[in-house]
Amino acid sequence: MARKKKAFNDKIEDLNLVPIMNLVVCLIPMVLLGMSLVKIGVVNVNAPKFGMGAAAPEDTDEKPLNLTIAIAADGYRLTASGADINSIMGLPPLDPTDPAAAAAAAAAGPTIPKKGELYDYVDLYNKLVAIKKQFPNESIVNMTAERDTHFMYLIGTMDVMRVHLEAETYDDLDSFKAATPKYEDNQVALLWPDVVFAVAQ
Amino acid sequence: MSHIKVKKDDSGKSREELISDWVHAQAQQHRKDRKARRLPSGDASVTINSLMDAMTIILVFLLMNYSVDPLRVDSGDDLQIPDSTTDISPKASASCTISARGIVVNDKMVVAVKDGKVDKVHKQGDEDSLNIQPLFEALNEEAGRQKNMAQLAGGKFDGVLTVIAHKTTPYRLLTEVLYTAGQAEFQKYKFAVKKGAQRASF
Repeated sequence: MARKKKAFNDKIEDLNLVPIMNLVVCLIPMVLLGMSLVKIGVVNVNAPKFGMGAAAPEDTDEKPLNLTIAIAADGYRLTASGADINSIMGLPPLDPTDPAAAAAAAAAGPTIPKKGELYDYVDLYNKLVAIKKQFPNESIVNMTAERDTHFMYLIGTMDVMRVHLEAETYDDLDSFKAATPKYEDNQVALLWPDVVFAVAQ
Repeated sequence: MSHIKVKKDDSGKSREELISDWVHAQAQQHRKDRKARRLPSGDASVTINSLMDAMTIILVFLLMNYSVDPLRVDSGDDLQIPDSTTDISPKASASCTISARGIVVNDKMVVAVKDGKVDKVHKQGDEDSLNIQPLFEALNEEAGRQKNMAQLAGGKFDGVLTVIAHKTTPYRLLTEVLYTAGQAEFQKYKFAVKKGAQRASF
């Protein structure tokens, strides 16, 4: 018995993509709404230290610098318990045996006053580089601020402190903004990257 | 091909006229055939294959970006994170959000914030206290969960907390949150920022 040959349709029907298309058109706005278009990064900080001026460990020969940056409403105040940084910054040296002189210096006002409404990031960078040159092995800096200081100024200050730029000093804000980081052994040279928050209780 | 039937008895046309009609009819038929060849027969349809390809590529690209980002910040009027020059990318960790309205842990509001302050009721009645009790409870629970997960994975609890804070959050509130997190055994902090800002821009 001869087998009947099955009829074969040469014409291949196109796949109906319309339902998939509908799905994709719905999915794209949903994903777009769900994702953030802003690139998020992080800034590392260490655990807060409560109470200012921690005592130096006794088993080390070298006294740590214990550099502290205080952000006040009128500018920055730089202090260090391990060295007289006033002389590094071109200010009259402090006599550690004279508490009255230290109190007077603290009351005299900010070490780096604001320039108009803006914090003087350029002068802060110049002074931090000068201190780093004297203490190349130090990387820890304590940061404190007045209680109403906005978080964004802390981040702005940490950005200035973190990276060593190409030049050691800058004269104006524009050249400072345009500066690129300095590289050592194909890595960005760091300035004061280890920030510890401090709160006076 | 059509043919013209010559009716010698009915038409009353001469032979030349019949030939002329036939040539005209042929030309018309030829035009019709050409037109029919140009247009496909049946229903007309738009080819969506290339559009489909483009859509699929866009969808895959968006899904890749969506899944790679370990930290999501739902920005709004009460939560705008500051700009920074940092190039460190976030990693998956516990997170705590400080917005202008409240402090949020694991998508759950744990304590309200008003004028940059937490009510002293939540600080055991002492306004100068650094410990925010509801936040401590939420973070302590989160730390316990993270420890269990680390134990199951054979690792060690790293104590990292990512703090997503509104840019005008006062320093005092920030230190209260960090102090409370420290009480809940979180010892390393990462502040979420917007990447790609210019140095000293504010």
